[in-house]
Amino acid sequence: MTAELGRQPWLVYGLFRTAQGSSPSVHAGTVLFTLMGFCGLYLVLGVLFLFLIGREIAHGPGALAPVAGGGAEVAHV
Amino acid sequence: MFEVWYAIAALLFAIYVALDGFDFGAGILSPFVARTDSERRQVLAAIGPFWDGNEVWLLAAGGALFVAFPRVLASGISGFYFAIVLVLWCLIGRGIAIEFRSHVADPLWRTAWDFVFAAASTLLAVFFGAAFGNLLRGVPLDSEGWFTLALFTDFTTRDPVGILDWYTILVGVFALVALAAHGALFLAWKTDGAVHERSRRMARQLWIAVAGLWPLVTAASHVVNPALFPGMGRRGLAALAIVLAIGGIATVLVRLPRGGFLAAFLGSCAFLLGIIGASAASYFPVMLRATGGDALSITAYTGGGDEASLRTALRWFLVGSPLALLYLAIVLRLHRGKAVAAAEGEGY
Repeated sequence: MTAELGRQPWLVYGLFRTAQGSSPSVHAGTVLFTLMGFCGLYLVLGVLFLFLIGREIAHGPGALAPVAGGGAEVAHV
Repeated sequence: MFEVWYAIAALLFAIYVALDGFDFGAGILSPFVARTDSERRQVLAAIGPFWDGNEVWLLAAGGALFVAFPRVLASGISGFYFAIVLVLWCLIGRGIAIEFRSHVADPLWRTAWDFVFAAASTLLAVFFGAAFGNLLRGVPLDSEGWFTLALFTDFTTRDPVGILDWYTILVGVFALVALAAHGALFLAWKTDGAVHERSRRMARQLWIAVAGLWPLVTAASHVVNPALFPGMGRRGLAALAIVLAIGGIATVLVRLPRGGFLAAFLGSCAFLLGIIGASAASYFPVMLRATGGDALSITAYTGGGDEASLRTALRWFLVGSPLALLYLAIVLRLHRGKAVAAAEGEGY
């Protein structure tokens, strides 16, 4: 965010302005819609991630189990 | 140099379709060839080591356009903006489905992700086919080299055109059938038991459909873009690609009934590389065909970047692409043999 906002109004510093680089054929409404779509998608992904991580933590690590080839290793559950 | 990069970009897209195509195909067919939970996991185990590596070839193809044909990329990505975002959402949803499915044993959880996996794979095959149809039919480029497209208009191929019309839908359906047929051969090769039996049976039916649809789609392409095929005979690469495609589909039809699944799968790869290669070689030098006349089309020469940077990029391509191929070879070797469903709590 700092890098992107700090560089404005340049897309390529000193060479290419953001206004010159935006697509003339893509409308603001379309961009807003897809931005909301991405936010929604990543929100769902984030919630699912927390749910799965929470389950994993609640479950705790597996018992020490002997693994073929010798030695004891924590079994991945 | 522009000719070389046109060929590189076409080759990278063709390799992407042949590689990610088989895991799309496995996704499209998974509800039909895999019925129990362990069969579903067998399908995921078969594509598990490959699918994300396969998608890197799409990045490579996009990267080739970025470095060599920036105006084509700018115009194409802007014009197909919403369609490309839909493709991205499908790719993301499909990746989440593959990764999350087996973490929770609940049947509803697993069925839901199986549905996302199959639906996203199906939509992606249709989208990529329709995108290819759009390139061959042409887009309404203006004199500045930009265009916008509605999702659909009146379903004819005359202006004003939309992303979906009878032709692009036909190509989309062809892509769906061809990639399902491609995936069926991959599953027949990489699995055993009930999944293998069902994949083998589906492969036979699907390849009969491919053999029937291919001439139909070719004829439709000629109607929509009459300039495409007449010059083909004089172009060496186009002729070579046609031989590859015919040899490929012949290999499939001969080897599949005799149980040569690897040979049939390689034939299927050759078929996909051949039809995309032949289309690209015939399309050259056009990269985005304009519906409003050839003068508006963006070609490899008008859409290309700086020659000097293309030469530099070629050196890096010659370093990078063997590494990507080596990676593919190593993964194929590590995961040789039949795929087995992972035990509960492990793997896909």
